[in-house]
Amino acid sequence: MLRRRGSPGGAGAISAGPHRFTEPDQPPPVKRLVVAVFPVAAVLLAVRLVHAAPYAYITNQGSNSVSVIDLATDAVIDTIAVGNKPAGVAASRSGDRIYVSNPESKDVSVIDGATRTVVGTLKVGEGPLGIALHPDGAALYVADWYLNIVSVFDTATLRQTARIPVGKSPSGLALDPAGKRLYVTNRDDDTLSVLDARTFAPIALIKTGKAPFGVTITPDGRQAFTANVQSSDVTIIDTEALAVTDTIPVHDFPYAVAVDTARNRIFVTNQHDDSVSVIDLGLGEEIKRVDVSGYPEGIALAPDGRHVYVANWFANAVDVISTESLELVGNIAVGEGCRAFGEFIAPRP
Amino acid sequence: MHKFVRFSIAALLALPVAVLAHGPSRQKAEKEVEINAPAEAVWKALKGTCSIADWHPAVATCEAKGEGKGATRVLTLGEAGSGKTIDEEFTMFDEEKMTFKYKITKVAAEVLPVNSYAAQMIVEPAGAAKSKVTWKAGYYRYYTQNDPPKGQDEEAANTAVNGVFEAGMAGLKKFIETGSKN
Repeated sequence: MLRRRGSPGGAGAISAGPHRFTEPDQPPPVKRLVVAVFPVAAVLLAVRLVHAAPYAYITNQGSNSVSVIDLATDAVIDTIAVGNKPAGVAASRSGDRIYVSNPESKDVSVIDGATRTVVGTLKVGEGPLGIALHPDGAALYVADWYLNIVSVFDTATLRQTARIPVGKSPSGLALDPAGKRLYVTNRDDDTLSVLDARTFAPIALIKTGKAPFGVTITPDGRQAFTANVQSSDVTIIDTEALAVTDTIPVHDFPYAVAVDTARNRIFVTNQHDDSVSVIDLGLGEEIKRVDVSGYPEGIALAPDGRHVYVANWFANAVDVISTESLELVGNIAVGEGCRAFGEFIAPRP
Repeated sequence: MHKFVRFSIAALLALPVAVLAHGPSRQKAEKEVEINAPAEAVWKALKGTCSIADWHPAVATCEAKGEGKGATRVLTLGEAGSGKTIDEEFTMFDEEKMTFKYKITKVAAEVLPVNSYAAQMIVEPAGAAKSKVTWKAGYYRYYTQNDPPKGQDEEAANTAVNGVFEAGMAGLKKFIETGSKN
């Protein structure tokens, strides 16, 4: 067992998150101005937030489409036809572009967020699945399940710029928020590749649990989590030490992880258990197992931090979990066999 | 030159075949049946590790190890001693909710052309003396590499699983309502 309680890099790295917004050395005049303007700004911001609620882009593998959910109302506002058997998704930070991997047509559909239409198609090797976008939106990374590489595309020209050899059956991809590193789970090698996101030079190869699939990085970039399908656990990695700090048991066939930094928790989809594990990172264990509608896969926290959205492959529905009550508070019918593997929530363009 | 053009046309004609070939994507099957018996009675007929041998027409014999979660069974299809076996393991068992899940741990393509097969059976009341049984499964085709041979593709997997479900659900209904599967 790799499991170690109270090990370094667990809670500390996460709780440091909110503090980075405080500015201790702000000059007094600005401070006064901020205080005076704050109530008005807060109201304006609240109004703006309601109108600027983001969208979720849910890949429907069985119906070859993407359902667009408006997170202000939790209603499906559009359905976009894409390639064959779409699975992976990567939305840009601005919401202007959404990329969807189609394993059966061996390509990536490029969706314009504003018009919600497919504006391009990228041919990708043999088995495109995991997909991630650089935070600057300029580079797209696509894991190829069969060729054991990650293909890199320039999103301006839609041309391939690199093929990076990785481990066996690369599946999940993630970048740190600063865009310095690329993380790749190699499912059939039980490893996580850490690479330089620009030069693609290998930085580390880390042993995980058995058959790692999804990988998620904390907003401060200091921790990585892999969901390990065959050992039914989550590996926690300190990205500075490049070492495993903990392994936390979850339930049958964990698939992907979402991070709730404010509450120091992670949410893990357990495919075969039809549940989502809520892990308290301070305690290093599951504090609740939320029953969901069936075969949960892709999972993400909404930017306001209030809800977690979960795509349920068997149930053809997205479940909504309250991060406060940890109860199911919504169920949104989408297309057949929804997966939403990747970063599927983005601001409306 | 002429030869080259002809060759190119031949190559182009051959292309669609190569484009059609693809890697596996997960498939699903689901079947419901209404049975004229209370849910408790149906659950009782269903929950044993080897109950399936009582009601599934394709299952000749069943060898059980244990009960509930973690139990395993080896099904023999067709006739006893046919060698057509499926190894399965119960991964979840909930007496109160009248449901269990199981997975296939070993099967040959000739017996059932599937991979990573995981299934669930659920019994629910549907009125006073009626119940609804749901059988559902998620699985891949048998061939996990690119470009499957015929018989190990998605079509073969779906045909086989749907066949097992249809025969099984009809058999279960008949067994409970008449006391015999045949």
